[in-house]
Amino acid sequence: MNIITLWPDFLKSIIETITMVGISSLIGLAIGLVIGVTLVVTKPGAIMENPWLYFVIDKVTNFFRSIPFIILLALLIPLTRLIVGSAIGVKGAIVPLTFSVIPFYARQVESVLESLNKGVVEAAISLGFTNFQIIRVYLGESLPGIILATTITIISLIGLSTMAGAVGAGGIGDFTIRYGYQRSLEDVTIVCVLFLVVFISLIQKIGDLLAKRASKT
Amino acid sequence: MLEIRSLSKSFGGKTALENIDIEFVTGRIYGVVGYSGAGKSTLVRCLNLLEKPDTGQVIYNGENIVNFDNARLQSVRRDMAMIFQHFNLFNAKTVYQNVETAMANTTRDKQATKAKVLELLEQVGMLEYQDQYPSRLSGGQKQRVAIARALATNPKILLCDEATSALDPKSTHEILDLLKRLNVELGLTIIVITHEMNVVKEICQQIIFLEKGKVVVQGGLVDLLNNPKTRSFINSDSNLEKFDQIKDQLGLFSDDLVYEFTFKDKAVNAPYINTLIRDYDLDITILLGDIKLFNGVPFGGLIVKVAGTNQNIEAGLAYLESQGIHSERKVLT
Ligand SMILES: Nc1ncnc2c1ncn2[C@@H]1O[C@H](COP(=O)(O)OP(=O)(O)OP(=O)(O)O)[C@@H](O)[C@H]1O
Ligand SMILES: [Mg+2]
Repeated sequence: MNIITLWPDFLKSIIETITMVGISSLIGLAIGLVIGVTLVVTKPGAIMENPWLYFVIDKVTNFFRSIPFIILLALLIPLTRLIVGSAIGVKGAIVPLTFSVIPFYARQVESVLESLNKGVVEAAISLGFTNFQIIRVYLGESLPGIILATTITIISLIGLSTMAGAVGAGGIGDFTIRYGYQRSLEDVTIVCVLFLVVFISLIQKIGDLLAKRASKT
Repeated sequence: MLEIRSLSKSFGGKTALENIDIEFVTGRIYGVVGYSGAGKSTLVRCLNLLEKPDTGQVIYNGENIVNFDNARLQSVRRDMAMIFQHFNLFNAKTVYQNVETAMANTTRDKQATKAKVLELLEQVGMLEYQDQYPSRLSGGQKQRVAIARALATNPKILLCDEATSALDPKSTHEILDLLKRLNVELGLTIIVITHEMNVVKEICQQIIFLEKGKVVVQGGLVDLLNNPKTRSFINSDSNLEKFDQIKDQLGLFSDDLVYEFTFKDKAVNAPYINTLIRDYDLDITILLGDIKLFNGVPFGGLIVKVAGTNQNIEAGLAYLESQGIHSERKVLT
């Protein structure tokens, strides 16, 4: 079994994946959440209506949303160098991963918050809530949806991270390509696929559970 | 205390309210009525500026609040609570938390907050449900919680947009009773939007009838009854409205004289039918009858077939008019 001899490399690749996904989701989800909320509250007719800000954020979000990750990776090389000092390795992958997760998550948050019953927002307004309190109502009432959106985003981020091998970031995707594909070690491919299936199912399960616990209906 | 002056509002060129002037007096219960699309909701939403009027003023405590900044508007809104047809509770919060969260801007003290939340829940009869989530409650219970939440900021005015329209008759009655009690106990001014006549009859002291964005009649129920434009609306839940549906089955001839008599208050128990028969020599056949309480005052109506000489009929009707009973010939075709 080749996977046994490659075990240390296999573990290392998992750690790389977790590092890339972990850091870029921490930063990306936080920024994405802020942008998603901003989109909802600055929209025409919304509580902090601001057509100019909305227009800019909306267009920038669309711009980044429409660039395929592998191209974003190349496009962002100068910026990545500027931010983390290197465009390769795990560090080099985190910047483009973050950039791709921000608009993805922002749109999901936006659509979850938009689906909140407008009447509930009006109730909050009519109670004399401040804008900050109204945003808390938005988030609190949409928590299950936000948890599910977060789950989907992290899972899609794991998918993207497998492409990060292109910049030498390593990770499980890179490991599979190098050994399983290029050296035709089939058992490596199978173990990697099994690992991903289990890992992603686990994340989905945790997300579902948390969302269910947050749902009071 | 609260006044609307020459207020207009349109949506994309479509006029919803046109040059409205209304003064709301403290401590009264107002009904805003009218057919669907008349502008009732828009009117009330302009009061707490959920909707911004195009022109005109909303005067609260002597100040025009239309152009208030956010902070001042928020404080006005805490004085002017609102409840809704679909309750709009915070579903992720318990009954207790729904009320508590509304207090965040008015009471800082934890102890005082708790005492007040419990007092309010007691007042609306929802104390035992304090730890439940709204999804577990019936419509009537949800509206009680919504009322407790609305009262959390010690408002002076309560706006109700079709607050009982999603409730069954029993819950409707209970909520209306609660509103009446709050009006008396807290001196709360209540503005009720409704298309249900039973709601108007049960609690409204003053009525504003809107049609196509304009105030048609403003006053007590009598004023609405006396106005031909609003009478049929007021009577829309009356037995007498069934006349048109059943007139074909009554075996009437097209030249039969059928009248609707409307009477109120003391006239309800006057023996006027007897008088018509005895003193005016008329034959009276009663077809339909109805007596209702309008805010505690009895109002009645009768649909009758009358036969006799023209002279006698004319004299009889004149006698009724002199007794405060209005009569109107029904068209049979
Ligand atoms: N947000 C809006 N955008 C566009 N048009 C609106 C809006 N709100 C109300 N209108 C229009 O304004 C008019 C008055 O509406 P409003 O909701 O005030 O009527 P209403 O008397 O409350 O009717 P209902 O009994 O059906 O609730 C209607 O013609 C309606 O279509
Ligand atoms: Mg309405």
